[in-house]
Amino acid sequence: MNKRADSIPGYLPVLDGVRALSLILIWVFHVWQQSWVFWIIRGADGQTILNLDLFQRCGYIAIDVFFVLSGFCLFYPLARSMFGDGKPTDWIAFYKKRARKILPSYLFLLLVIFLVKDLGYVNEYTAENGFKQFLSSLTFTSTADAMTHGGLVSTSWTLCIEVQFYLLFPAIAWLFKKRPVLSCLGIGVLSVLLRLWAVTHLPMSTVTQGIVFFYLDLFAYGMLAAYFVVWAQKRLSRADVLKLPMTLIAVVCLYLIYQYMKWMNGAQIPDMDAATVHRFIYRPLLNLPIALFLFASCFSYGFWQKGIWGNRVAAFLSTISYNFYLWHQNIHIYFKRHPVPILYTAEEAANHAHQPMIWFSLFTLAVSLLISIAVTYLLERPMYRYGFCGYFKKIGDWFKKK
Amino acid sequence: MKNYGLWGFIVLYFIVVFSITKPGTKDYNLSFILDGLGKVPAPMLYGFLSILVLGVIAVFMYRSAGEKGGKFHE
Repeated sequence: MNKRADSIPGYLPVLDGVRALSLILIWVFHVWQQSWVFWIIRGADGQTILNLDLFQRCGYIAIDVFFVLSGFCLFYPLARSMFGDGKPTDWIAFYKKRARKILPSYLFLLLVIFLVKDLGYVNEYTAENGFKQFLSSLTFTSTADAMTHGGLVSTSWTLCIEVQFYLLFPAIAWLFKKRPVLSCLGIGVLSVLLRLWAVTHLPMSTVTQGIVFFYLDLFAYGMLAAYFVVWAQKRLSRADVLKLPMTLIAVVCLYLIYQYMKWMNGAQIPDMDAATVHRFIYRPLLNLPIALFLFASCFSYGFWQKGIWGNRVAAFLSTISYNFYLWHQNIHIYFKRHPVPILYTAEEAANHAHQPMIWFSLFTLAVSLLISIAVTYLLERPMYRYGFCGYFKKIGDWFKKK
Repeated sequence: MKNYGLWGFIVLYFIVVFSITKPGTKDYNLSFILDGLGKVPAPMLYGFLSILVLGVIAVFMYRSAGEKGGKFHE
């Protein structure tokens, strides 16, 4: 069983499972983009036994899950303070904590990319644009230009949106503290209108897709779910009688997310631009079930909360999720540029040969896991715990002892 | 029906939607958007309906346990 679930007050083990599943989905999507190996198992007679290609094609939905989850996690402590638990909000402390969580691993990755150029996502940065790449990455503004969008770190565009949201968060949290339901409704409507305006007036470029205002409703749904979780914990003295309907609602939400993926995958869309529009417009049909799943799961049966979603494996994957998310796609790119001859050759990688690309997928997964574990436990967690100065003091003390 | 503010808001919302997605601004106009929405697969609609029904059942179950619950911050 997940130890944190019993030792940390207000800890919600379901979140670990949701984060872990999203991480797996995004890996499945990205490794498919690099290997083009379809996860379809066929029997001896050629009949399909297992077909997982839907999850490969639609793994991008994990990004939406991350944003909803982020809204939930950011607002959860504030919601607890609204009901008299925990400390009142100290925004300086909030930003310090966020910086301590996000910056060390990210800056370390940028440093490694600076030293190992081929680890960068696009291999075309030169002395002229390299400065711009690093400057935009360091200031979380790489989404503002198509050239720098995910230029160094493939997944950094979502980190840019996340960090830009941190700047808006105090104002949105203030609104939520006054009128949570109305604020969520207002932000939801505003975001839908903004996206409608965008698809009819702007090109569906990566720059358009990297604007934080088009994602505000995702965060807002997560925030409202967090508010209702605390509300129900505090105001519903017999929430235990709701375990059956809440578990069923959570299951139906998963079914809805699965159906949404099928819909997106099977939609008859004439061109790529229209496919992006499709995803852009109908986002609430995905994100409302995600937020509702988070809420319902928090009041479901113990086996669902702790056994399925909050187990040890999920808690471990959740712990390393940030570093795995940052590193995995860049590692794919690096090992496509630098083949491992014992597993696959450069020609096989270029032609996406089936069996060698399975080895490529497994090898890069192992490397990504190892690096994520190392960076999480040697840098991210101690830096978060002791701070920048405290971290280096600890290292100094360790060397002195040795 | 007395809530004029809400009805006003809904009418305003659709005016804004129609004005920003007027046909001809780009390839993706209102008919494209509504066309897609009309193709929401039936299992998704049943799923949303099931959640609504389960929500109502949850409220009845809670009330039948002799509790009413508390108010929101509204």
